[in-house]
Amino acid sequence: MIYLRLFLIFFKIGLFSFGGGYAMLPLIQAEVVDINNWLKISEFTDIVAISQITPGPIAINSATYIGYTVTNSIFGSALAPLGVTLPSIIIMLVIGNYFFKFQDNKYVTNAFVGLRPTVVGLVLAAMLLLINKETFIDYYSVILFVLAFIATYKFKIHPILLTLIAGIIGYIIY
Amino acid sequence: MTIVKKYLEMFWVFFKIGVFTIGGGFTMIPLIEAEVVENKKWIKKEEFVDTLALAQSSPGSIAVNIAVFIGFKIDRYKGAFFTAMGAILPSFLILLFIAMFFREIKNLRAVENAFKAIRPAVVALIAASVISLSKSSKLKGKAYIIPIAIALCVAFLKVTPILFIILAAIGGNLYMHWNENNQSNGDDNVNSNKGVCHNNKIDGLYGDKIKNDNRDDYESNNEELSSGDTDSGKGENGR
Repeated sequence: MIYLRLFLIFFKIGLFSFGGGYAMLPLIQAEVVDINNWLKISEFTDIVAISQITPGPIAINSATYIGYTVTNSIFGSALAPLGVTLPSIIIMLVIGNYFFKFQDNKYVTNAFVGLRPTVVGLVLAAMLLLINKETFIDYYSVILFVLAFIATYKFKIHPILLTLIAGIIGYIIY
Repeated sequence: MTIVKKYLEMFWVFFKIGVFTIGGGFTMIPLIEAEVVENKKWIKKEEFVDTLALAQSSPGSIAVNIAVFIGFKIDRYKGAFFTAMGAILPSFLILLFIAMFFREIKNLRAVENAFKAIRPAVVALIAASVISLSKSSKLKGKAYIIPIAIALCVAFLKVTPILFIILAAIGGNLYMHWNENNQSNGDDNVNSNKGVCHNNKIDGLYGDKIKNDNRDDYESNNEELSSGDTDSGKGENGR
């Protein structure tokens, strides 16, 4: 019953990982590589690399790829992302339901007074984590960063267009 | 017909966002801001900050959490279904395709080179988001220390974000409680213009809390004094 196991493992990972896809990777590695021996560590590293250079949330990318690799079937590749997203979908719906019911509640309003600056801090943290040697490989990277920032902040260029332009520039200059 | 069109639109917006979210859920933030907040105006900018808070307080992929919550807000369970599908399907299909036929993609020079330039651009997009988020969270003056300190703790000291989310919810309540006490211990002209000045002082440190809380008795008398301040948020959303 590899399918059920795959689903349950990813369900568990989805349920217990706070902080998005990157926080999930060590959990996925522990389950898929160390406990179940479905993949070698080198295969797992490849999957992480592919998940990062493909669009979409890291959690879904890696779950899809691992699901396919482990079961060699499309069914398996659908089960893993389903497992990983189901807990957060259920929890978000429950939270959403209560939030809209209680959003005028004094304590909820007050909690958000504290949560708003915290969210700004957490997004800033995600940005700081991306400022590393893999992102900024040379002077071009710094120039691209500055130009992209001006384009989006000053001229309101749409993020999708900006990503496409950056991709083309990368293809040309590197 | 129009209902079907609306669902398709919701699905399509998140599908599009999903296709161009490169490097994980946080990359989605500038895209959602551009599409859902500014373009489609499905939610207000302030609501978007609250959405982010909720998405980060619950487990799982941040991108999916945001999609579910926004979908739920637009049209309850059906809305959540379509936005979640939109957010999940592109990455599922792309990764399935790669896993089946194209495992060598990571060794492709063209892809690698494109991504060398996309990565710093993504950092710039998130940087712009941080600025616009901090504007809509209405931080002022010293309060900027809070997000900066949190960011440094999470990024460099590897403190878990959950801790800050819990502390923030408690801290927000304590802070507001303290504010209220201060207010009632102050002069008894809280509802007069003097009182508004007093409130503005607190506003100066920390955004819109008083407006949220005492909106009713507050709005009536603050028109001349702080209309610019209160309206700034609304104006931002309107655009």
